[in-house]
Amino acid sequence: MTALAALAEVGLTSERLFAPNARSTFFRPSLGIDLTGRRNETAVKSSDAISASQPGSDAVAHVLRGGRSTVKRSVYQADSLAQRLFDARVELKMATARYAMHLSQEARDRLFAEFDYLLEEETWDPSDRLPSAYSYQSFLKWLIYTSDCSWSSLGISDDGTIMAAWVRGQNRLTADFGDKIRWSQAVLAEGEIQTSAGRFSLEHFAKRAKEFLASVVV
Amino acid sequence: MCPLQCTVDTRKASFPARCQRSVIERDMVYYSKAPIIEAVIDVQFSNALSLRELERLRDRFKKSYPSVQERLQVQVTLGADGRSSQSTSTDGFQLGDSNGSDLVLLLPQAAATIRLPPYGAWEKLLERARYNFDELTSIVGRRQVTRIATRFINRIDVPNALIIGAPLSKFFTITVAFPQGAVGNINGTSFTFSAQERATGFWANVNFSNAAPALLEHQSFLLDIDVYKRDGIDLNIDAMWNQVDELRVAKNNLFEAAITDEVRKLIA
Repeated sequence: MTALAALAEVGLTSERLFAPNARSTFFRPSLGIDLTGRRNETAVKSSDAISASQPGSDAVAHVLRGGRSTVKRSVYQADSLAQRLFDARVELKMATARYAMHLSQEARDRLFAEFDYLLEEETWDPSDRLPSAYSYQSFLKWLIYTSDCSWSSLGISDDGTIMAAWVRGQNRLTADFGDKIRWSQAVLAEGEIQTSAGRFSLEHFAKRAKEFLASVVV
Repeated sequence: MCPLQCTVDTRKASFPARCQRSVIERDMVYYSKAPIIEAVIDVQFSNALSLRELERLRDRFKKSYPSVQERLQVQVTLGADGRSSQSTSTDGFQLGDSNGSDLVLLLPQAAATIRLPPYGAWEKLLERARYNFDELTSIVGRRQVTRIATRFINRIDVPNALIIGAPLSKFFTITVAFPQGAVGNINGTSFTFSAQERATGFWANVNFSNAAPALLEHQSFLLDIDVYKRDGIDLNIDAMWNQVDELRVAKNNLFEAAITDEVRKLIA
């Protein structure tokens, strides 16, 4: 088995090693304390060095050069669907917590209740993708930027991205918080439903938020 | 209002004598937008816990912390000829409550009690840490404690409108600066130093860095303060927890010393 194949087998592909923004929450040494890494430096480098995912990391460079070394990595396991859904709820709540200083208790409680509802085992299709924390963070950024908590409901797309909807009578705005924000709008004007849709960056969608929401809430 | 980074002058009168502080404290400071994204009390001990002991602890703690995640240590050994071997072993458990706000990290030589935002109060965190340690002791017996620590990670989000074109020193007293005669942008900053907090004598590892912006049109900075004690940890449990309590003073002093009034206005 080659070095890279061995790394791939434990989920450490070169892309992942060099991804500057690896989002694996539990790799972050700052979650809790980086005790694992510091105490287990039995080989070349600890799991922290790998999890740092920085190009040029000594451990990574050493491994990729093919020198004799040992890579240690800490991973977490979840088994049943119930457990995975529970963990997904917890992960979203943890993501919310990181913005707690910018969100009211009421706003957090509403989000928590929505995810408790969405991620129920009875209604969840096991083949569906679990929600993306990254997408959820985008939604939270939008929420905080606009200071608008008037969303009507949240959903999870087939890709695991977070979707939000604002519905007032026949007026409706939906947004899918993927890498870009895919939005659609339907408003009653000139005696009929006018529709439009688009694909914006998060920043642009946030800047246009008042305009969008005003058209729905009229 | 969330009490944050506070010291407790006004609380002394009603606090048990064993917990009264003998160290210099600043006035109590409260911040309504507490920037704490992680608060940790960590106790390390000399004799490593066995896997069986870790599992027993997991089973005990999961009643209060139902989100259980196993930490696996995957060890891949790579030879110069490209051949490799790998082995896997359990390294510990991370348990969380149903809201993901309160966590416990159980490792062979450490137990950490963690609070994510919204940060409540130090007293509550300390109480939980002590309770968790008592639980641990009741199951696996007393261990010799080799390190006590409290680590607070703060994320300070500064609006672009305030920071663009301004020196970092406007917001932080520990910072980087351009050499005289140069102007530009600081795109990535991270530095760590160890320092002894003068008033308390405790040592701390402090990391200051800028992070990916947490908010739109903001810049985010992490101020990570890890105050610890290795020598002279009291064998008496009450006295040891008093020492943990005192670590907080050093942590607060360092935090207050590291920020300027501009940051105080943002988090007030």
